Amino acid sequence: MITLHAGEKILLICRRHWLPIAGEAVSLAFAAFLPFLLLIASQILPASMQALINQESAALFLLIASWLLIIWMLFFVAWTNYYLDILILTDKRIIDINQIGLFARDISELRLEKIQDLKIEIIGFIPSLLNFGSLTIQTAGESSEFSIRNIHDPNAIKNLIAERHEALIRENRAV
Amino acid sequence: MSYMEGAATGKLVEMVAGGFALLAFVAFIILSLILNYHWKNFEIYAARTRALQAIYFGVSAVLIVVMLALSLNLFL
Repeated sequence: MITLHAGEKILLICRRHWLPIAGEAVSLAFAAFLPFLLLIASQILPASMQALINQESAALFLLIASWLLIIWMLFFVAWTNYYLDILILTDKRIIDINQIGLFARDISELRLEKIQDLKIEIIGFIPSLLNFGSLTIQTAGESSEFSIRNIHDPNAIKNLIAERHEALIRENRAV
Repeated sequence: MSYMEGAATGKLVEMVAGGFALLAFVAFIILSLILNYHWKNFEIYAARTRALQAIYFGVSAVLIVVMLALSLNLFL
């Protein structure tokens, strides 16, 4: 759970683009339909094998139901990894939560006033078409580069960060 | 395929199906605990967590009831 500092406000929460998770969902949907396709294909088997399939239909449906349960769980594992992988922009910090797997979670945090340079990269036909890419933030701290991949509309996020960075610097000068 | 061979293969299919179902159920228990922990601890919006749990556990419950009914039909 992310704990905000006193008076800190969340300005934006964004997730990585849906395209990678959509690819995984399509593969899993195909895997879910596979047993039914095999059942249809079993019509070409010899009569003795078809009789066995008919005789053991309860066992085969138990196998199919178990297979569907496994596919359902795998979809939610993939979806959880996608859903909990977020970028949070507050009025003071950027928090990048990288959900690598169910047992691997990487949280990077950067104070907005440390930003020195912002760079976006949208490379390729599909990223250009669907407007997603990577955002790289150069900082003045020890870890000098902070990179977030596959985020939707990186240009709008870059502008929002730059805007907030300028505002924070103005506020700091005024104090 | 002779009657004896058919009966032995049928028994084997039932054993494999039962074992696979048991394995899937154990995996479901373990993964559900892990997923639920993640949703409760790392999700930002509580209402979404509840919706997520309802969808996941609702569909899983239907599949498990079907598995249970088929297992009872097979092994009792």
